Amino acid sequence: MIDKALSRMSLTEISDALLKREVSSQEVVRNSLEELEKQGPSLNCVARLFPEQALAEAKSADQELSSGISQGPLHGVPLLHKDMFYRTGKISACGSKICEDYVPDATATALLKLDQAGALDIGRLKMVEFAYGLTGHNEITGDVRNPWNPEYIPGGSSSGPAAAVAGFLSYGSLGSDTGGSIRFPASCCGLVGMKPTYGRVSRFGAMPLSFSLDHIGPLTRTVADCALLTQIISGKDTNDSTSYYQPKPDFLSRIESGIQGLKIGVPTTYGNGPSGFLDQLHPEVHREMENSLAVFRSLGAKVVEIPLPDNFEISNNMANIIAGAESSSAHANWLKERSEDYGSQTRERLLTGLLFSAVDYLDALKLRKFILEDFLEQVFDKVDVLHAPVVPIPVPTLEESNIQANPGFIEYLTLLGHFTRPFDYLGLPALSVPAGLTDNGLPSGFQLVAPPFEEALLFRAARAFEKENPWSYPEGTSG
Amino acid sequence: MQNKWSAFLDQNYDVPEVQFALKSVKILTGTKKRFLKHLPFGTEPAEYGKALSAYNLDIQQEEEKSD
Repeated sequence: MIDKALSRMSLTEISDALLKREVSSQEVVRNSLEELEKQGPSLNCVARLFPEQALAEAKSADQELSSGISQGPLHGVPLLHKDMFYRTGKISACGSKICEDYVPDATATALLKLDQAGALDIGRLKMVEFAYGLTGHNEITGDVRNPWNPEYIPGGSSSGPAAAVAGFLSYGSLGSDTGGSIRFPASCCGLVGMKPTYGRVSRFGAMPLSFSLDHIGPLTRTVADCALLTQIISGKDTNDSTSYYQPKPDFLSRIESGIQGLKIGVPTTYGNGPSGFLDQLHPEVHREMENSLAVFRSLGAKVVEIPLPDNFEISNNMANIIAGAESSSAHANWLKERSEDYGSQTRERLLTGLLFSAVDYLDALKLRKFILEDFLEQVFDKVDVLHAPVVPIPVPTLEESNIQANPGFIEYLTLLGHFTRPFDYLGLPALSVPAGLTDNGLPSGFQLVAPPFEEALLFRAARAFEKENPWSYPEGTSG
Repeated sequence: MQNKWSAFLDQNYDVPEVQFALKSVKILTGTKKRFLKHLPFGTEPAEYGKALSAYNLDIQQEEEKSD
């Protein structure tokens, strides 16, 4: 018998309940496994479960707690993650046929950090093939469905994590973001999704797509949950040379401090510019952005228009060049030997990446520092955070966005990533937050962007918004 | 390799998928031209990482001062 109240608790609520021994880890894990078996197939979000191991670890967690031992803030909490986080001895298929039997011999650093915090790793969630796409379609493993309405896309590439967390099948989940793959599905499914600063979280043991742009971060139902998971997985890792030393991050102690006087920047071309950052925004998404800004104003924030640097407009294209070249390089052998085992869109996209010259690639990398510096000077010298949309249009149906490798698919995907991909290129922290519903009844989110390593500020602003604008998920989302 | 690749593209220029891919690449790469002139000679890709690292160091020093 599934206990819906248990499933619907937030990550921090279930952690507290476990610590206070109001519920046992075994009860929580059994409940999660039942939910996953019952609801997982309708959303097509589960790649595989580890039920026996999960129940054994839950039993140990309960025994430890009864002896007064707590491993950490996630002691005994079951979690599932995108099917690209390696664990020694467990298959990581990466949403593909090519890796369907791949068993890594190392464990992702982010997973090890969750282990150390006491979390139980009970399964893997479906994803876009090799994390290369924003809609959530997958020609190999089938399309994941949006819990708000199964006819609509959940967004990708962290499609399974978004569907599972919004559908109350996991208390939170790790995803990856190379062009928007955490924030985009978070927006489509009404979740909070953090893409941290480049270098904040180790990528070791996570499937690489584009090493210059890959970020690891969580998708959750609340801001505090997202802050907690990001805090746990952050930190320098000798296995990832791009990770930075940081003082022990603390994203929670000031999360309730409010945002009185916070300066929020809104790009000046908002909604009606001839060729600016926000010119392709759908009116319904525009409406939800304006509504969210009104909430911020009511909370004491100062909302100011801010022009973005001229060179920022090429960030999306530069990110596409880098992702194209790096992903094609990573897949070069499989493209030669197993080309027919890719889905058509992934194959065509990877093949297109082979067409970029070394000069194009290096130019895109060299421009990155200069565009970042201009952005920091022209934006963050004037405002504390930037407010921007995530998905430019209302969430489309699976059918209407099923572009596969049809003519123009790269331009379509470039458009969908218009608001997310530039911040992967610049490496800035960006937090997607649910704003409201568009006319089709699907969620639409905004993102807050901050200077490097200022994640705590994003969580504080988002928490203030969340308190004023509480979010709820549809009954029936989970059966 | 580069010659073979160019020859392959020439031979397959009429294939619609190749045309679409070349068009996409042209669109993506065409936009950077007017900004490249601002790049100083000798710029290296690694300078982005150095910039982030410097920012991280600044934040650490600010935190240490405030502690």
